[in-house]
Amino acid sequence: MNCESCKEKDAVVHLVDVSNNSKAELHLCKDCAESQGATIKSHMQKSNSPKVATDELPAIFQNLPGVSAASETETCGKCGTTYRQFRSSGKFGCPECYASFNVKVSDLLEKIHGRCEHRGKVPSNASEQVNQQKELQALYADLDSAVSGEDYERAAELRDEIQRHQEGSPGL
Amino acid sequence: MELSDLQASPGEWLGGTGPEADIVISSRIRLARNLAGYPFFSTADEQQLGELERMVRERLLNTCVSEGMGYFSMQTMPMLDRQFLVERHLISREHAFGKGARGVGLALDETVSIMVNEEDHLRIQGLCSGLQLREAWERVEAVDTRLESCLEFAFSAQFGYLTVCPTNAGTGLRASVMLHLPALVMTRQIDKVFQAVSKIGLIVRGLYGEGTQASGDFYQISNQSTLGKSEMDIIETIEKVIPKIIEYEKTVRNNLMQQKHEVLEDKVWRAYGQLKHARMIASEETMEHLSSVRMGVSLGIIQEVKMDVINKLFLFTQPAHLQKQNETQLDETERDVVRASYIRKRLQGSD
Repeated sequence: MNCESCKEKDAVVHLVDVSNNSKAELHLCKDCAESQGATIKSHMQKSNSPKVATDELPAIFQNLPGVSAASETETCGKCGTTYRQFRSSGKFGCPECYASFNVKVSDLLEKIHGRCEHRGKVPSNASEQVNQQKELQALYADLDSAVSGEDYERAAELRDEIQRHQEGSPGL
Repeated sequence: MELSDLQASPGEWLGGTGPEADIVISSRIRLARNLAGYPFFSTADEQQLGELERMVRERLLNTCVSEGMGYFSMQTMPMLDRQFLVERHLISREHAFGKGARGVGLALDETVSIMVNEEDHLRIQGLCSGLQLREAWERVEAVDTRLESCLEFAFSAQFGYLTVCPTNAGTGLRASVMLHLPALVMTRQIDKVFQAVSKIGLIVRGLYGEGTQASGDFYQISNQSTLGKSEMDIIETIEKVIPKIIEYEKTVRNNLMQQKHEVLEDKVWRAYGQLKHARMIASEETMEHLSSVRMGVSLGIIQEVKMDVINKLFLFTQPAHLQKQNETQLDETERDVVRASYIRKRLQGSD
């Protein structure tokens, strides 16, 4: 596939933006990607998405197709930071920004970290809901291990437990 | 506690007593936290920053009594003292040069430092000698847990701890290990290390972190991603690769000893000679020579000086440390003279 910018070299950087049920793609060669600010940090053969360093954030945003002008003015209800301001500085204004720009934040975190769901410490004073979420995440992790360890009996047990969790009754 | 209490001795992390201290200088854990219900540092006004600082300071002092914690405001601290703390790796350069109400909580033995209003409201750091990421994590986590009992942290089930910059969201954890890799640099194999670690999602930085040059052949290896993995997963990823890098450095050192020992000895002894006799010496040159000498001491080529003397020299020849010892401000030329004199005395063994 040829680079969509210079139309000459092979495309090796593939940017995909999925938002509001539509998917937009941009395919660039290494040189055009670099000159447009998207730097290739790690090798492309792994399924983990390319990692992005802090100072590359604004540049990555410039070239995401499918981000319409209307969404630029989307504003955080609490601190008034607009999505455009966030794009140019790479910094959120307050904790509420994460919820205000939710879908875009998920996509962005996926691009930066390769994932967008927290797995790690939870503050002890967090609500019951958060703890349940954490338990569910742990169950999924165990399920993964069971499947890759070919312990299908255990995997089936875990799958049932996950289902019970999701239905609101957390296990026997 | 006064800052001058720190002056006399370097922090525990420089003691060189941790595991693999030959090659691993220190292990560092940093957690980023923000308070719920407050704007981030990026949009808070002066009054809010002041309020935040006062509140966090009070909670810090109340909950970190066992660490012998003292709190220091950055705004009233002289620039020389701020630079001193940067050299000790207790605050970042950004914090030293930043604006607005901010400060740092410091444990007396420097194992824990807590920056207030740097990029995030709180940056809790733990430092240990050698390869001891878990030990550093335990210290930091303990402080974090104590603080969360009296402060509400901004947190979402989906995105984890909420930070100013999305690159820190989730665990808010930066785990890093500082390595001394002179043989790999000398044989131009250091790029192989960069490439190998970047394949597993780790990044390499210079002596003072993001945006700094490698100095004295020191390299910090840390995680890049903070979201989607647990804290222990992140730590384990680093723990798994460090022994391989250590082995690589040791192998190259041994090869040099076997196949190029005259070249190696010449490099080491010349560096030692410069340090022992120079009358003026700049920072960068000092770091370069100390690095060669450190390798020489480690390999037993130089036996007349101990490792911990060399380790301390790395720190005490830095500009702010030098001036604080001297008790006067010095311009660059004066510093170079004082530095050379200080090194000569230390190497003569006149402690």
